[in-house]
Amino acid sequence: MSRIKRGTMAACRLLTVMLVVAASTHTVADNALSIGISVSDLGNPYFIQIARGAESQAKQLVGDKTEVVVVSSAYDVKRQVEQIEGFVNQGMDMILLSAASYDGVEAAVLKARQAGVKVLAVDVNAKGADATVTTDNTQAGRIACEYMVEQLGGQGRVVIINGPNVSSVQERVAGCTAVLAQHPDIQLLSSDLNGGGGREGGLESMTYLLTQFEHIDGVFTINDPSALGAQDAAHFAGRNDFIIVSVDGAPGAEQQLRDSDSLIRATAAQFPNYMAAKAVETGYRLMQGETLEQTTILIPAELITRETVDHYQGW
Amino acid sequence: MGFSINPLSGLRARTRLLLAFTILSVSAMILALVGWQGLNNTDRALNIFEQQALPDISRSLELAERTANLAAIAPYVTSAGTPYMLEGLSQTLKTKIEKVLSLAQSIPQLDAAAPNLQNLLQRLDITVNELIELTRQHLFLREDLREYEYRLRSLVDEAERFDSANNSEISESMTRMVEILITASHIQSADSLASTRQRFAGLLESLKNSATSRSDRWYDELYSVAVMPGNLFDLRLKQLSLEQRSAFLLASTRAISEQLSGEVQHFVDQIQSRISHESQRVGAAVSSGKTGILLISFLCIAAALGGVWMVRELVMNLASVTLVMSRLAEGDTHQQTPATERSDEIGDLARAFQVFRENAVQIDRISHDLQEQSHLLETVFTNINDGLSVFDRGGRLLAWNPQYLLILELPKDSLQKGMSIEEVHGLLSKEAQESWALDGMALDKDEVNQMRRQQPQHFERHFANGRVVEFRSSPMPDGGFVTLYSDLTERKTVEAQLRQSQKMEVLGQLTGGVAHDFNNLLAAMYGNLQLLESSLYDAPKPLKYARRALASAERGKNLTQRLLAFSRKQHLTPEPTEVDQLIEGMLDLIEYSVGAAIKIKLDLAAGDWLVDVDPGQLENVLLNLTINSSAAMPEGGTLTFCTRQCRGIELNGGITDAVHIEVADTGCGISEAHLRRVFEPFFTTKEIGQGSGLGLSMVYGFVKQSEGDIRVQSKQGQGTTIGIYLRRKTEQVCLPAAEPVTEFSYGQNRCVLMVEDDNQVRDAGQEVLEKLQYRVVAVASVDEALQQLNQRNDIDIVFTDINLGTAVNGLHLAEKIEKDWPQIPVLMTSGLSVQHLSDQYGLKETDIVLAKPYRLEELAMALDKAFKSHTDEGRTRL
Repeated sequence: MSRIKRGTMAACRLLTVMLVVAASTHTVADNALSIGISVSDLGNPYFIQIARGAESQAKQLVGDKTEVVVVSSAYDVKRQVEQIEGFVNQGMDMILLSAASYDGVEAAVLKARQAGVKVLAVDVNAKGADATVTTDNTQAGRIACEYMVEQLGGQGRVVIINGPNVSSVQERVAGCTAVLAQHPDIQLLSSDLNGGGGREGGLESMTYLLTQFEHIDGVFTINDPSALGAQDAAHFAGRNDFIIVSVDGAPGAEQQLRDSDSLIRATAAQFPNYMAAKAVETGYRLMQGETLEQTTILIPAELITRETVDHYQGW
Repeated sequence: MGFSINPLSGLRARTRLLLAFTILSVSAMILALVGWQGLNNTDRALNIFEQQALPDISRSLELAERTANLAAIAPYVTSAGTPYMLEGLSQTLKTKIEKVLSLAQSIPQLDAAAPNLQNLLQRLDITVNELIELTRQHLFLREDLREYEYRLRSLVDEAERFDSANNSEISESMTRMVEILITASHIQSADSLASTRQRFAGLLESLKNSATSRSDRWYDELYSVAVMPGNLFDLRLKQLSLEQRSAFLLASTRAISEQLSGEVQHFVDQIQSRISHESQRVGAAVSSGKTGILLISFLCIAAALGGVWMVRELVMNLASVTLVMSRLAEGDTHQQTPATERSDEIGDLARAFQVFRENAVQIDRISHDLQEQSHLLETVFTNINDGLSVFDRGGRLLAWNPQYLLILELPKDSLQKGMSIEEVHGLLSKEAQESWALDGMALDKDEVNQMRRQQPQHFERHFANGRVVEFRSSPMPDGGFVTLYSDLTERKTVEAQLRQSQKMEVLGQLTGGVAHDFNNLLAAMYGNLQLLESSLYDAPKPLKYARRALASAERGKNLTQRLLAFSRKQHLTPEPTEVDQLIEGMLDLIEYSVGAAIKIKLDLAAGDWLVDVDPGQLENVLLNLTINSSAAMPEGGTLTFCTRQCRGIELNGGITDAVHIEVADTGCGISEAHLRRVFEPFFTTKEIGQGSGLGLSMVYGFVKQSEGDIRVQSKQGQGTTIGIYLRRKTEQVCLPAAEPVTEFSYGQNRCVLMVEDDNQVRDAGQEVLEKLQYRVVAVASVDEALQQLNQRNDIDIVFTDINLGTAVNGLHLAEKIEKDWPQIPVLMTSGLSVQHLSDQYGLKETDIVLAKPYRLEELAMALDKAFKSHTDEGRTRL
């Protein structure tokens, strides 16, 4: 596609945003708190929860006079940068950001902060952010894979379906591989297939793996959509000789855990609501001029298995 | 098998073989060269192929593969789930397209073969890029729609919260509207989108009209989502158009891909044709090479055949010669030798073989003869009666035969080759070792053994058991010596016996001669004494003296008779003999033999029992025993003769009556050791030269011959007793009584021609005859007698001595008389024994002989007898 066309498209978008913002300028000025949230994928219920969590916390803090704008970056750095700049131009108080790339948005982040906007990174690290609130992803990967290893009796052939190259995914994979490395009878067949963090990607990756490997005992996916996609692939391929563990604790996975036919056996549940709330609170405090004891807040994941699913409250 | 004369027959085998080899190797070389050349060509062709065709092939393959891959992946773009994945995919595609482009550029022939390829690739590139961009837009639009969705959902939640708080029902319509919007964001066709849009617009209007405090805000929100520029419907429309275009682009991609593959196919076809052309070229090169090789191979085969043909003849001849040789090795010497006329090496071989064979045959023959000889020698060696031993120059035993062991009484299997002569000596029995004597002289055996090596040695060894072994040893040229051993025992025995008998004969002759002379003397004495006696009948004292003298003469006569008997040869003429009488008869002789110091006792109780023996022999035996006993009593002692009648004793296996004769002495006795051996010939305790050792053996022989038995008892220091048992003669034979003195006739003046060479005897005889009233004509020789017989015719009888001292004796005379004067009887007389006379003088049995000395009566009777028998004879003759 030619640059002119691209440029025009971008301009259109910007315009759209601006108009949207313009349509609600009057509300912005009167609002005590305005938050711009850019998440990675609004098709993922996880990110929807983050947005919802942030909104509810904001309402709690300042009542109804909040303005929360939610956009999705689709893991595209350029799009996210535009979104951040848009937020700044709109005069947001704080930005909640699940970065498409750790340092790809650094320039925009810094610019935003220069403009006095508080930038909070959620779910994944973002370079230059005021504070970061994420799940303890390493721990999440670790507990999920520990469970898987235990279920396999300490031996077997395992694959990891990877995801976008963001810190949360990286940490989860690192946590899992560390666990797998402790068991010499566990053979890690593949860990670099990128499912994109989504169901289709999970299906695709799993299909690849099923074709490549005749015998798989365990699958670790970096999030529940990928897990669901992997299970789809298994179902279509007629393979049910492995278990799937994952990270998220999404409702879809929760449902699967209750199903005795499902291959998904465990998931390290995150708390997106709480995470977002915490981020908003932290941002608000920053806005009040407080200094933080720590700029990185890790929220431990909780392992939900088929056995313990009944105790799970969900998101 | 006739080998045709071939043009090369004159050549030597070596030349032929060389020629054959040369031809073969040359053809092989040519073959190799051709092969080499062919391979070179092939190599070159292949190189060209490799350099040109292979890269082309690989490139075309790569091209085909890449374009196929590209075509496969390109559509995938639309299914990218996230921009991130899209990005990755687009990168991959970009890389692939670049690679293909660069690959296409690197193939020079590509433009010619596939002119459209580059073009197509570029178009593909553009299309794919556009597809990527579209997909990205699509994804972003999707996110945008999701953002709207989020907002709408939040709206619904708000409305519901409001409802529950305010107990209103606005949310229901809100929800409816939101649902419509959300559904619209997934509508597939533009038309239904438009209609939905319209519907929504209507609903929105109604909302506006039902104003609440909240609804303004909601209305604003809905308005901004659904109506404002960039609204949901627009976005969805956009998406749809994007999808349409995507479809077009996908179809485009597919079409381009197909065309691409077509182009590539062209290219590949071209490559293929070039390759097949190249391979044809290679094939041509190879086949030319093959043809060349084939050709040369034929040539080589031809050459090989030629060589084989050349060599075959050689080989066959060689084979036939070898065959003959092998046959010879097996022993067949009569095969004809082939190929001897050839002028090459095989001919030489054959000729040489012939010579060899002749030699071999000869050697065989010689060897065979040698073997026979050797066998013969061995047989001789083993079977000769004598023992044989061969010692080498170091005195070690080399060979021996079985008799060697026997003769020297060596233990069986005790000898081994290589034993020293000292070791062999060590094996001899102790007695054998110590008795070395040479003809009576003791020898030092070591000295002898030394000498044996240098000179022939001839000596005897006397064994303690009486055996004599003669050693005849000769040195051998190489330093050893060979020895023959003869057991001389028998010979010695025989020799000794011969010597003894010779001695006896001489003795006999001597005694015969002596006795004869003595008899003559006695006869003279006797005759005169008888005359004296007859004339002294009235003078008692002189008569007594004359009678004493006569008795002595009588004894002398007996003695000479004894002597004569003794001197007789040992022919056994058994006759019934009274033993006691015999012993008494020879008493004087016994007394004579033993001397004065020994006392003789007689204890004769055999009575009239007879034994069948030669009395002379028996006398001999007794005399022998006497002499032995006498020798055992040098200081004197007692010699006892004892005879007994024994009834029913066991003798020589049967029960019989026998006469037991015992001769006992009180001498020194015989020791235990010697007792066993007394009867052995040559065994003697006397000093060498003192006795022959034959005496007792002869006694033993006599006793055994006479079917008797002999025992010896002896105690050393006390004496010896020898007992002889002789079978009793049971036939009652009347002994011819000793002729009593019968009546005899007087001469009646008959004329007697007396022939006697001894003067005394003649005189005495004449007187006696005259006393007997015969007329006597006395002559001293045969000649004189014949003279008388011729002259006179009144001779009635001739009385002649046999031994007249001349060659012509009385017997001759008697013959002559019988021939010429048959009417005249002849009476002969002699001092010799009848035995002697019959042996020496040819005395016939019918001849009558008067023994000298004779008594008057005896003479008269003899004359009577002579007359009588002559008359009888005459009668019978007539």
